[in-house]
Amino acid sequence: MAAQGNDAPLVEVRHLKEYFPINTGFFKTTPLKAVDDVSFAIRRGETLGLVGESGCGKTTVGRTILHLYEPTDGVVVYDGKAVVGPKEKVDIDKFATPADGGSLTGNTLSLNEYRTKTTMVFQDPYSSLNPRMTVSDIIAEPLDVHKLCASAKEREERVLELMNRVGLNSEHASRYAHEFSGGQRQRIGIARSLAVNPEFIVCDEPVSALDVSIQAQVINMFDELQEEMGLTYLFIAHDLLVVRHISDRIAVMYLGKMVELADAAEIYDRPLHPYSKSLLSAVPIPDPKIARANKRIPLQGDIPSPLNAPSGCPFRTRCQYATEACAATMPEFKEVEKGHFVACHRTAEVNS
Amino acid sequence: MALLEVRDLHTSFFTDAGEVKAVNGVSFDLDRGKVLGIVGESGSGKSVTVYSIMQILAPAGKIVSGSIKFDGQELVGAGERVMRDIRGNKISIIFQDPMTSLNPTYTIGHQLMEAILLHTDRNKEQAWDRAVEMLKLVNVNEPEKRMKQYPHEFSGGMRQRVMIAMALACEPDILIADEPTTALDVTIQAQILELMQQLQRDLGMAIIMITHDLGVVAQMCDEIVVMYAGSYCERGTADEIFYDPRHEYTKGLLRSIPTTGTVGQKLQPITGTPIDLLNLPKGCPFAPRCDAAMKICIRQAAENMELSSTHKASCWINVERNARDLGASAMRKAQKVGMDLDDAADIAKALEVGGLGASVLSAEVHAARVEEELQDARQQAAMEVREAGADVLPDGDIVGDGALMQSREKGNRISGKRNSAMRNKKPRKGGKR
Ligand SMILES: Nc1ncnc2c1ncn2[C@@H]1O[C@H](COP(=O)(O)OP(=O)(O)OP(=O)(O)O)[C@@H](O)[C@H]1O
Ligand SMILES: Nc1ncnc2c1ncn2[C@@H]1O[C@H](COP(=O)(O)OP(=O)(O)OP(=O)(O)O)[C@@H](O)[C@H]1O
Ligand code: SF4
Ligand code: SF4
Ligand SMILES: [Mg+2]
Ligand SMILES: [Mg+2]
Repeated sequence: MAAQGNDAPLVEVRHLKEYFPINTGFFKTTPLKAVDDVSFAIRRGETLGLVGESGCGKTTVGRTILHLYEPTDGVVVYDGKAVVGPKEKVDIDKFATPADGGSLTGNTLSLNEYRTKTTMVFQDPYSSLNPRMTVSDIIAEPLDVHKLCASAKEREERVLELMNRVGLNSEHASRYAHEFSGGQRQRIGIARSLAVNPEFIVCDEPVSALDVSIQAQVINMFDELQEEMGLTYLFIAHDLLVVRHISDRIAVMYLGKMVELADAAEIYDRPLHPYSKSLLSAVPIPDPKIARANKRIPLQGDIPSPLNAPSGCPFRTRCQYATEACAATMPEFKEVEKGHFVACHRTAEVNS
Repeated sequence: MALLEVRDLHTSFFTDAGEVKAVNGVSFDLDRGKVLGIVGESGSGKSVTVYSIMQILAPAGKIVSGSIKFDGQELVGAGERVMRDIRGNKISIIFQDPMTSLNPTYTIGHQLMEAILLHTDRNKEQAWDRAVEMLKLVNVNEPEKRMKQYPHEFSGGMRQRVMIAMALACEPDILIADEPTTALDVTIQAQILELMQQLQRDLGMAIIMITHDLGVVAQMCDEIVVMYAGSYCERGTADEIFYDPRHEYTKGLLRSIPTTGTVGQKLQPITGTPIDLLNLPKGCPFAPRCDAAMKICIRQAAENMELSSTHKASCWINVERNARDLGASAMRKAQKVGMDLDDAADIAKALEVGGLGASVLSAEVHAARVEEELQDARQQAAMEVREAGADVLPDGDIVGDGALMQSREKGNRISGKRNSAMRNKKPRKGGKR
């Protein structure tokens, strides 16, 4: 097992790929490369923000990390152990490092066990809760699935504890989800996610559907839960002001690939990748004078399809700095400054 | 005449539990080529307001009263035939939840073409071309291929763009966009917003934009309606709302936005729970959650106060602020004319602390009127002090509850003193008469 320093990653994603087979004609399928060779690590107790264009693969990354989708290739190493599903065929030893002793096969985590340590909070508090179930049953569902409670009494106590934890009233327990406001529903969803006592939570746009004030409540709650329970988050969101507020580090994806990763303040103030620059310039600032004067760096050209990604750098069809070299090879995702990773052939020129 | 005029709209849902007053008293105008933003808490009636305009309410929902005029034509009670012509052709809407508004069993192309065929004169082939063109316009890659796919094969943001394409395909006069960019990343959002702005400029399309994203509002909107509990608590230009908010809910809303300055700190949400629309209180609906709430707020809802020709708010704070300003200026005048300062201060304080009931106050005003004929500039100034208060304090009770507790004793003392002063005055007046 890898040494456990404070900085030891809790979740390590190595060369993760998720391809969806798409019918493109009679008996013909083409792989849609939703996630294509992505590697990164999340430290224990950290919040990693994940941003990027719609359809770039953020949700797929989150779901594949949790093995809700079986990875096409690559491995997730959780707390030093490789996660393997019962039917998964990936040769995980390909991704072993010297720190793993060169092999991962002897050091694995079953999917069942992994599922009790990890969970997901979904974007849509409206459709992700079953309208025919009471709040109490919704929250207890994972407890039942994983048989975590010995008795009905224990189950009830646990549900009330969870409701309490997310600021729901105990008298809400027997009511139905549709009777609640968006913020309350999101709390119900979060309480359910916490039921298994997870260490790591993938939050897929957990506040996008909420109004600003309730959003602030839920963000504060994520903050408090992290402080109290030492949780680790992968936080997917479109609202860069929210991501900036909550994240320790931020990762930027484009067309199935990771293009930049750095400290939140660093990336926000000094993005190095041309796509990140454009992305950050497009953040709508809640101040009319600034918003009107704001110089956005518009992206030219069509979003390429993940079915038919450009050769070389995926961003080259829309990048104002693109050269021939960019079409020839995919830039490596490398550390250009301490803790600042970028995948661009021309980082130096772009930022001079 | 504005393109769209909504006046005192009331819409309710008649449910088993009672009448849910989802919209109660919303008014606004929308001119051609303008962008109106509607913001406000979840459940405050934003969607129901625009569903009322389109008359696509759930069966339990009903427009109870009010008027909605499109291009001069009254839509309330106009009937289904008129509305069918309005919907899609004149006014189109992008729904909040793209997943529920797209049919999972039909291809994207089928659904787009259906909308185009229904609302325009195009034939099938032209509709196909138009659909592809619209998908391109909203930046969906490989539109021809995408036309044959089903909604579940699209990412959330892509589905949302399909909805936008559908709404824009018919070139409406008014585009209602209910949270149009919630599921979009900022670069695509920027493109979509730009596309909307372009159509707005080129075709004179007007937009009603409902969104929680105050950044989008700041960027897009000429005018903003802030809703709380089914009515608008504040209305104004973007600058007025952002730089000079005059309702406590608006202020709370603006405070809760994360900024670069909030990193490492807790955000400041508005505390408390949303109001129960089945049981609207008689006072200000925001009072139970308002830190600045005063006694009068609980007893009586504030009228809509006109702060400028474009800016309106329903919050007693403005009255209080007004009263303080008026009181202070009257004090200065009183000082100038050499009025007995103790007297003036007493009156001003009494007005401000507000230990006085309405009847006492009107007696005061009455007394002042009588005095007016008799007294010199000193009394005139004193009257100004009173009128400053009397005018703006219908209830004479503008004071925070906490402050009221503290000042109860003081207030009693002051009003006691004032009562005795009035008793003293009356014989004097009688004497002079
Ligand atoms: N189940 C699926 N079958 C086929 N293709 C899929 C499936 N799920 C996602 N995709 C495709 O994979 C790509 C990535 O989708 P994903 O949902 O991960 O994007 P995202 O970054 O989360 O986007 P958004 O910000 O819009 O939610 C998209 O092109 C999408 O069409
Ligand atoms: N079909 C219905 N039956 C009963 N009540 C309803 C119905 N539809 C809406 N309401 C109520 O009307 C009120 C206003 O709802 P509306 O959907 O307009 O809110 P909103 O401001 O759009 O909120 P959000 O930001 O969450 O979309 C809510 O309190 C809601 O519960
Ligand atoms: S590698 Fe080339 S195309 Fe890609 S981001 Fe860098 S400069 Fe642009
Ligand atoms: S009227 Fe009173 S309760 Fe309502 S928002 Fe203003 S200060 Fe607060
Ligand atoms: Mg997603
Ligand atoms: Mg709504």
